[in-house]
Amino acid sequence: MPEALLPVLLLGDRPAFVADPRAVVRDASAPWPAQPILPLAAWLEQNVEKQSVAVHVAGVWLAPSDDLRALVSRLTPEQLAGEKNARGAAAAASFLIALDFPKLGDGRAYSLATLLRTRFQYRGELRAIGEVPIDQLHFMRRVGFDSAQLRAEWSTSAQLPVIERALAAFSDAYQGAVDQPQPAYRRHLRPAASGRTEAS
Amino acid sequence: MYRYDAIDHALVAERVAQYRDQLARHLAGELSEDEFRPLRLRNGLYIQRHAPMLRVAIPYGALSSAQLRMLARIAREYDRGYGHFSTRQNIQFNWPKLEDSADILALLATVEMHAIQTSGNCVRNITTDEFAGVAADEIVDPRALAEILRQWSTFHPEFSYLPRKFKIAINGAQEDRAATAFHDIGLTLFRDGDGALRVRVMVGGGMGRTPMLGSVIREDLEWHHVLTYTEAILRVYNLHGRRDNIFKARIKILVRALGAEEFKRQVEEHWQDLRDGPGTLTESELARVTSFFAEPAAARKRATSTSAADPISAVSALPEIDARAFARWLERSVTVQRDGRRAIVLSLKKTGIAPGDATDQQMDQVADLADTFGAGEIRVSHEQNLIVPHIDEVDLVALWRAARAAGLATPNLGLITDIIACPGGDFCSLANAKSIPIAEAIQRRFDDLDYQHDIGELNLNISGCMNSCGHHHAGHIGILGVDKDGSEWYQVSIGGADGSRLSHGRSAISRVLGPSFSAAEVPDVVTRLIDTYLNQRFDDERFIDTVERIGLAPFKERVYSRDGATEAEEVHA
Repeated sequence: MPEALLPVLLLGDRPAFVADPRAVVRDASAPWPAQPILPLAAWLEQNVEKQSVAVHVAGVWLAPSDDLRALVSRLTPEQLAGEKNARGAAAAASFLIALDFPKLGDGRAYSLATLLRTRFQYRGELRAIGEVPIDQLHFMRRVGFDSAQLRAEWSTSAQLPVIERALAAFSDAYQGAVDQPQPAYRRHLRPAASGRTEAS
Repeated sequence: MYRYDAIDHALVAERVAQYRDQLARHLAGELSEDEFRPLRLRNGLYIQRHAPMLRVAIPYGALSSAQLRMLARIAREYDRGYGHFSTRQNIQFNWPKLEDSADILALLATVEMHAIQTSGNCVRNITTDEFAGVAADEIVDPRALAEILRQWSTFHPEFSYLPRKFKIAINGAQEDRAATAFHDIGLTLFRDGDGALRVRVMVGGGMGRTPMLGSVIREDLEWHHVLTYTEAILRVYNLHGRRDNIFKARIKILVRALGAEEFKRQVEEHWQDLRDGPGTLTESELARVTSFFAEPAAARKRATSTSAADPISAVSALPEIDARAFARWLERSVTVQRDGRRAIVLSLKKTGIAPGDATDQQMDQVADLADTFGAGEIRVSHEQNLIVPHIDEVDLVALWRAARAAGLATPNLGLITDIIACPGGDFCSLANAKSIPIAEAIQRRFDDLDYQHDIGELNLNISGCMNSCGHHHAGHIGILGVDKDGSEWYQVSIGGADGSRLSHGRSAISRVLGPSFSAAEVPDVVTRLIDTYLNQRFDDERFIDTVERIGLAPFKERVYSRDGATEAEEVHA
């Protein structure tokens, strides 16, 4: 099944697969689907007129080595602000940024996501694509991803219990991140040593 | 010692449950070996030559007696009755079954221990001075910041898939006992003129294939910035560290490629995003964590019947032969704490035992020693020995007798037989060559204690491969196992220095003498190095001083001369 037709996983409190017509275009020289998510270079060029069919560019995806600044400098204020509550199918007409995990263990997109969400204040949809293992989803959600394109065998509702467990693995986190910038000790009253020993 | 609160307990328990689920999915065929590998590595599980190897973290080298007894139990019930203390304040079990690994982690959790991030390309166990909190030369106790960094780095979502492993060491004493110059980040704590806590930040040190000393990028960072600054360093590394070549993926390669100045500029740029943000460490959190490291007031829990009334009469009651052995042990293995009590070092370097190995029985015995004579606390050093702090002077003789009975009182600390060695080719699937038999052959050659004492203080470090787990680059004598056409050879280097007192506070990377040797030749080569030193020694200078003064040439000449004192040597090109 081509990537375009797979449902997309929404990383909300209740993870769910939804159909999404927006499709990642890996090779921009090939014909585009109706709602392409373009590689950065093609998105910057935006040669929509060259395409024979009516095209609505739905988003842009970045390789880990792409320059975030080049992207951000071209985003409209609306794109940067995102559409509230618009995710997955409900957001079919809205703009999204996807970050590619080109191979298992390449963690650069974690920092790119963090930068997009913090330094550049991007509020729209952020999607993980490429090698997206179920057991990294909780990390991805923490740095600001809100949807993910999993490989075909995992993109079924039968996998949802595993995905739910993976996303709910931890009830708290020590350090701040995009989803919760406050570290644990700023959110909880953590105990000091309890009178076992006192400095002499 | 630090004690877990509800959050710590929950996170470690949830980690065990998560891993148990992943292991079950792997065993059911739902997670391939490639998919499971990064997950098991982040829980300390390597697949080794004979079985999985489980590496358990001993955060900043501190253990309670209850924790050590649990390690003994794991060694007894899940392994073959021993464990290996590594050079990074971890313990490794060489024979657990993969199927048992989740149960072992669950047992560890009951004593507030874990194997989280002890391998994999993530932030590893935070290491520090084994004498933290008791050292006479300590300026700032590094343990609170080490614990804060442990928590900050645990399951860090942004930095769990770095280009390569990442090691942080902290030192707060005058002597650097944490080898900070050889770490990805080396932090040195000190107080400025106003008594405020400051941090000197070094990056890009490391051993491995391309040994490098760290570069200082911040001389005097204010302490509350230490997490955000570390975050900025890791962000630059995560974004720009090389991922195309595993041998060039450590941060040191990036720092060298950019230059320390440019690297620092990029760090500072990212730091502007983080500076004074919610990641800034607070006074109250530092005070809270520091409260766990208050000195135990009454270390000695009870007057022991085996102890004498005073230290002098205890020693004078010893037979002559024991008095000599005790005096030697006192000289090598006992240090005076800043409060006047003693910290004793138990040597895991007895000849014939793999360096750093301890049996389950020995671990139990050390736990008993710590409960009987100390404050129930044990430390693990990067030299792979165990330390029991908070000992009253009057108990030393009784303690020494018990330690000697346990085979842990070899008075060789800082001497040529106090060898640092990795497990090597006997266990490790990465190794090119064996380490343990080489260590043993050298220990046998220099077994005579008088001879060892005459040679004086010296670091001899052995690694079975370029990964340098045996710290050969930092050894006054460093031995590296290399593979040549499928057979095991040993490259010998001299002049390394780990930044400690033995190296006069200097850090240096050892220099290779020349062509490698066979295993059988190594003891002779070391003998020739020592002979050269003894011939050239000026006053009471150490081996490392002589190397510094006269250079490599005289050593080289002696080692590679064919008419040396020993016969039948083959020198291989």
